[in-house]
Amino acid sequence: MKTIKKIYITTLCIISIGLSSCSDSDFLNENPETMYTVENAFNTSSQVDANVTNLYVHVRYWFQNNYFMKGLGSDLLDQPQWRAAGNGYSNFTKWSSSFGDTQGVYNAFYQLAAYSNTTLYGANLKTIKWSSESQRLYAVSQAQFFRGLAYLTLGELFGGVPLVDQVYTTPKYDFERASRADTYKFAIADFEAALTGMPDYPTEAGRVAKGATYHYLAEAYLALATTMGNDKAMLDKSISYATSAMQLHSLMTTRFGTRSIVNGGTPLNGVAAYVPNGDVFFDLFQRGNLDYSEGNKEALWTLENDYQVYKKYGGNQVLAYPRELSAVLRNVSWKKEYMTSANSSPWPGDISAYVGGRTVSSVAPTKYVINEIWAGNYATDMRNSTVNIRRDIKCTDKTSTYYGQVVTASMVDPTTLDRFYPIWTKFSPLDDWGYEDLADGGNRSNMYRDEYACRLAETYLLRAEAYMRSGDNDKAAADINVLRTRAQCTYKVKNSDVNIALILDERARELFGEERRWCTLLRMEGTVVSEQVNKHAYYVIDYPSNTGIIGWNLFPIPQTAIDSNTGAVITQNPGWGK
Amino acid sequence: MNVKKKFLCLLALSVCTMPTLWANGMSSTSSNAAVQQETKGTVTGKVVDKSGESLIGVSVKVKGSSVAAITDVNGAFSINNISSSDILVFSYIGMNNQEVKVGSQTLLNVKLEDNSVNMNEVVVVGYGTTTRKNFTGSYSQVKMENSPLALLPTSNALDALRGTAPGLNVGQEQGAGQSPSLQVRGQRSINGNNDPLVVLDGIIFMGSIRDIDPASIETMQVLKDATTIAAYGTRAANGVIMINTKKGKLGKPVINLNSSLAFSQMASKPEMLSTKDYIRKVNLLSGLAEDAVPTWMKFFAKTNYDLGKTTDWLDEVSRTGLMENYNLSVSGATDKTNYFLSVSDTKQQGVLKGDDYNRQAFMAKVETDINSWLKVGTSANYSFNDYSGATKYDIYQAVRLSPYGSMYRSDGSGLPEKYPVGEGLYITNPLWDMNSGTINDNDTYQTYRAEGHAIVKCPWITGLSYRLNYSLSNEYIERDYFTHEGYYVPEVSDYANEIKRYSTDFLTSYLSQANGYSARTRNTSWVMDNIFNYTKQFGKHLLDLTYVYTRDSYQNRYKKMSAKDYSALGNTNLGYNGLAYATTTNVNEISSSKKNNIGYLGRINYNYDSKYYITASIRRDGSSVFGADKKWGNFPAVGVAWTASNESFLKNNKTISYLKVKASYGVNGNQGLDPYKTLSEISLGQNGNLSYPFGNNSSTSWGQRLKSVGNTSLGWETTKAINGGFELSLLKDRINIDANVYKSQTTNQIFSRIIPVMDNGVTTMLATMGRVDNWGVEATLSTINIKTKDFEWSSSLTYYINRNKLKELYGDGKDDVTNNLFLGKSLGAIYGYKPIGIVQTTDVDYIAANNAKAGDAKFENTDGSTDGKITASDRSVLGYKKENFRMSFGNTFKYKDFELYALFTGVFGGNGYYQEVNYFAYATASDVNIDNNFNHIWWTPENMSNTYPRINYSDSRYRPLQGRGFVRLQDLSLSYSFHQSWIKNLKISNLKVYASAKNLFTISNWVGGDPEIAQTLGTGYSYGYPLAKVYSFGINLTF
Repeated sequence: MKTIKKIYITTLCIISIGLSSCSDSDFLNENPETMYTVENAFNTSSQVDANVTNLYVHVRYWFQNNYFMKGLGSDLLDQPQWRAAGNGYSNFTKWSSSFGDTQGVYNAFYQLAAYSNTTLYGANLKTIKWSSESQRLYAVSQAQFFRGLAYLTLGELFGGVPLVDQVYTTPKYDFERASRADTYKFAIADFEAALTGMPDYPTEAGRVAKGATYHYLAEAYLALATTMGNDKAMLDKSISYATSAMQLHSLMTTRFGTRSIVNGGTPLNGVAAYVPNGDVFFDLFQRGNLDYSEGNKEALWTLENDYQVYKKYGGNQVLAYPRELSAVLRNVSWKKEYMTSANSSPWPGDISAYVGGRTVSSVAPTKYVINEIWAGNYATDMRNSTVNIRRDIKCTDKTSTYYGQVVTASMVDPTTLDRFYPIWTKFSPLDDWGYEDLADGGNRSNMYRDEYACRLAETYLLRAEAYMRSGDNDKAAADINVLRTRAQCTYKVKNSDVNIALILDERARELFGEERRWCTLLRMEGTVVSEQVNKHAYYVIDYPSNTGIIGWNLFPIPQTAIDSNTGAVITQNPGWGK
Repeated sequence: MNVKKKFLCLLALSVCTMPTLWANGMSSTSSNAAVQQETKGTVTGKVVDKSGESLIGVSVKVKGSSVAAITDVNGAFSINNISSSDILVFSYIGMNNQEVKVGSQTLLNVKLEDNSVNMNEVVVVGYGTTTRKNFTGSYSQVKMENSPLALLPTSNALDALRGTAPGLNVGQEQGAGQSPSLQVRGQRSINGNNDPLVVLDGIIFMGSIRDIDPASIETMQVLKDATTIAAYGTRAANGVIMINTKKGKLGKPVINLNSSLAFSQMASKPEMLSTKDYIRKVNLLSGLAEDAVPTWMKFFAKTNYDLGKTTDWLDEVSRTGLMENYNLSVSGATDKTNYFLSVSDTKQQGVLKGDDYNRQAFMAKVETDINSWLKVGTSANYSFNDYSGATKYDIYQAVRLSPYGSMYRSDGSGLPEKYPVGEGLYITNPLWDMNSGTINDNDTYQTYRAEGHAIVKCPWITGLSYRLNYSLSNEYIERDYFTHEGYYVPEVSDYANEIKRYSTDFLTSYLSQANGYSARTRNTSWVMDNIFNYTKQFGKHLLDLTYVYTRDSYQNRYKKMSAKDYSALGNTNLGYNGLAYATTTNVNEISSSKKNNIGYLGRINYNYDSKYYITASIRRDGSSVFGADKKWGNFPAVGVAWTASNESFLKNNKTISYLKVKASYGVNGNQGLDPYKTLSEISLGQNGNLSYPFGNNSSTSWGQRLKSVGNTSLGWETTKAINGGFELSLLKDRINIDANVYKSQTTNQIFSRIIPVMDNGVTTMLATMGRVDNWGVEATLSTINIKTKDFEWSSSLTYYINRNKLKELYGDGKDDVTNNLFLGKSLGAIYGYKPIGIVQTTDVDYIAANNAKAGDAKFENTDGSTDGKITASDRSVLGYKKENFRMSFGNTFKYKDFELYALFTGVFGGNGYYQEVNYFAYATASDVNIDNNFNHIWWTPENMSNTYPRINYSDSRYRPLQGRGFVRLQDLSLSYSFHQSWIKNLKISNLKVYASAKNLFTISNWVGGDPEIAQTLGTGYSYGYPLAKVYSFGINLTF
């Protein structure tokens, strides 16, 4: 009996020890089944292509969806008084080396550089099979283009920055700043190398090609020349690259596209496509008109948006311009003496296309953009036509005595004037033809047309600036007048008119909302930024409040970048403290 | 694994045998009942202590009845009318209770044994048990079974630990059926997990606390000191909570029925502006005169204003909550077999409308001796938790909404209006999700847990035993959610479309937005312990050796699919069941993650003559979640204790009845890391959601990018802790003190470290660095204040203080201002500009230097700059969110068959501790002018407050702090047990009725809601779940 007991127990012990005998190290090994890691990041050429796609996704957000890049706090735009309670962007006391927006831009363009570096790493892997060498070269060229764009932007906004041409998987903590000139040169080298694999024109809508590369080369050489004291050779390079872009592309000078065909086009939301009183500048911003492949010779590089894709997958393929950028007329109140109905507003609850849609006005234009650039000689201008900037809006309250009459500022309660400003057709469609999602319950917050990253009109202004900097005001005036001629302006600028201020004005007239305004202002160096901002910014001029002093001409290097770089010192830009 | 199958068979077998056991138990009940028909007589006797001295005032009670007597000066007693089946219970302070069956005796002489403070109380430690007298560490025990705590209305087991276990902070539940947060001995980890480990019946529990039915719990123990928890090595750094479920008791089988009903109400309702002040406020913020006609009111708001109709939104969203609890258990034990079966049903309706919860739980437990050397046991649990129904815990809108908004549509349908003020996409009806019928929601959790164990006593080596534990748990979570087209009804654009926009025709255009998802989660975990134990007494030496080899595994599997756009189908009648009919269907996620652990433990317990104790252990742990180079860690611990009262010089001391001094030191780890965090992940495809529509053909390309950077050198967070303490009992144990001090040092904190963005475009990476120190004192004073034959008053006072300090961070000696981490300061620091009142018109210098306005908050020029400018260098640490100390005071009064229990708890501030930013308690302007606000004044030129800024003041630098200290009557219960003869005639062995209440009142200066969760209007549109006042009534019946 006792032996049987012993046998039982021994057997039990053997079983239990057997259970625990599988290898400890196998048991502790991690083997993720449902996620991708860097181990399987580059198995095929389609993964390299996906990395290229990512570059476009990233830039699209920063160029079209980020309003700070468009110039929040500069001479053009700010958060209006009633939204920010006086704490808008041009209240510069709130800027510091920890300022979220400047840090966001710094991080974003280093991300762009890192994504480009990753793409280049993948495209140069010998293990990956490509269907053709030109396909691989185009991937390489696009990555180089975006890395160039990253360092051009960083150089313009932050001056010289650390130059990184590889991806560090084990972090490095001892980055050091290069000079601003070297930063521009690094960008130029990338752009020039990118020309190798670039086609003349986009192979499919949305891709970059030679035109955009020439354009940014013109900008990069202009920036380099400026930092080198208007170096003639560099200016010549800038002019020559701008000219190359013009050889491939041309300005649109007559009406074209989706809304230009007399009694033609495809109606949308019950609205006919044809706009009889439209003009070519209007046509430039209509859905279906922005791509080179859609007949737009002026488009160098277009950011793609698509309603169907947005509807399915969401993402940033949407322009929230109507919502974010247009005036909130339904919140404007009558002055007491004009209030003749139960409604306090001339546009009670109105979210029709006529008043700009379902707007909230997170961002408002300055008086500089609304009035000053269109004053005097500059009044007659297609870019200021009634289809492009809607200034006279009639009362839509049927119960008001003033129904159907244009409401002027003098009729409006002064405390609500900060939400009463013109509506740019670039930002809010003229009518429901521009709102693709209405049938799906959209409320006129968003539109889904493409957006320009750059178009040839800006190339002309870059070249005009390069001519001006090399002392050739005649040619500069001529380039500016190309745009003014297209815009059927009665006043053509004279060579004596040409200076920085005129170029900034002309940029505002032509490129408002498209331009990377802070890049322009900071690229021009010296006191350009402080003069321009102190003359025009929202909280300096329009709604004066505590604005602090602009004692800087570069954005601050983010404190996080300085602090995390423990192995070496990244010096801060002047004007931002230690 | 074979072992799984094996134990499932074993389990099935035992469940099958259970009804038989139960049936046997029942038949023995009836035979006992037959014996009871007997003649009654008188019993007399004498009670003495172990030295033979007569004991005066010993209570002698007939068990299950109110008949009682007390011994006289000679220790003698006499009780009449006793039957032979009665049991007499002898109880005396400082002595163990003794039960004696009367039988045929008429003279009963009884000797009572000393019971030094329940010195034989069983303490469940890691992979074993010990008794309180042999225990060298620090723990708190909370008894649930038959205690007043069991009478309190709660749906969560851990609720009972709030205020009763010093060193443990238990948070408030945020909604019906939710689990509270727990923290033992302070925050050790900055970013990692701070949750204690839960051990259920001796086996690591990896499920959710909601799966443990409070009614099935016998005791809970919180293990705190490093030596005690060292048995669990890497998962113990945050303390261990041992939950022990009920067992059958020797004697006749017991059927217990408990039923209770609880009502609840919102406890701390914030005081909002009066409607008159609300209009004044919005008028002023809109630039109108304060008494102007409110022209800013539109649509419904305007109509309601004209009619003088207002709505109290907080009243509208809240309700009298209701909780019903039913529990039935059957238990019993024989010499060889012990069983416990329990079913319970809980229905809870929270104080907010729509917050509904339902639980059904089942437990079966059996343990039996197969023969002299083998014992097997098994248990099975099932629980079903249902949180379905559209719920909105965020009641921010209800607090903020204009009192002139409309709850309902004007057509008298009684249906809700989505936009109560007509417009404002962020100003929606707080009851919209619940009452509009546009949301379908299914949210259920089902858990199956099976456990089995076998204990083998080695017959040829006395004292050697082997125990095998295996537990397996499967949790299935179903989550389905659907948003119908009606949900997307637009704002009102004119009165004419108010009702029209809800029509089916109109809503058709929103069919493309209708969407839903269906998600399934399966969490599987298993634990296997092999425990070898050898216990032997050699003369005065007691040796106890333990060796453990354990493995466990946890796997999470998740699948989610979603669908969108029903415009082609034309209806959404099927809700989430009709996902397959949508135009766009997506598989959003299929994920799986697994975490495996291995542990080896060796432990020696030794004691000499019940005076000197030493415990030493070492655990070696490995975990899969760590980097390839850091999978393993070693965790040693040692503890000593000295029972001074067993020394000859104290043995006969009249004052000191018990004294033990103890100290321990140990190293423990904290995993604080999810699986795969040491790897670099990339996002791609639809799952990565980086879509770009090249070409103009409405199709997308997907991007690929680096998502996170891994770090292969990530390892354990390590806590080294020392503990010192003593247990002292005075005056025959009428006064008991248990005090502990501890100090801990937690290094290698797992941090999301900021790395230069230049490296790879990622700005953070997990890294181990930094050190946090904690120290604290815990003390419990429990006393029996009065004890007479009919009346007893006992109380328990606890005190607990914890401080922590950030000692090291990134190694560069710098603070991390972004994350509010300051070297040399406590965690939870609040940093910013120090408000020192309000700028008055007379502060000309300040106004000039800072472009300030009278009525602004005024900040202290802490850096003393001569220009008087307030700049970033004026920022300082303003206070700490951490508490200063906490105290609780519990009292139990027993009078005859009544028992009253009251527990006061308090968390105290002071010295800058227990503070929180309470912006809207002082400021008025928010980003929406028509928001309602807390009732307070604002600065005006006529009434220049120095506390409240001007009405339109808004400044992100303004962070006014408020203390959160409070005292609360947390628990109150009153019960009455029936011992009348009719009870006996009905064969009821126990009948108890009770009433109890929670959170009856709170005393605090906090504005805006409950201080404990710092409930107030916060940034990020949040307002916490309100604390509930609960009243409950119940009945407990035992046959």
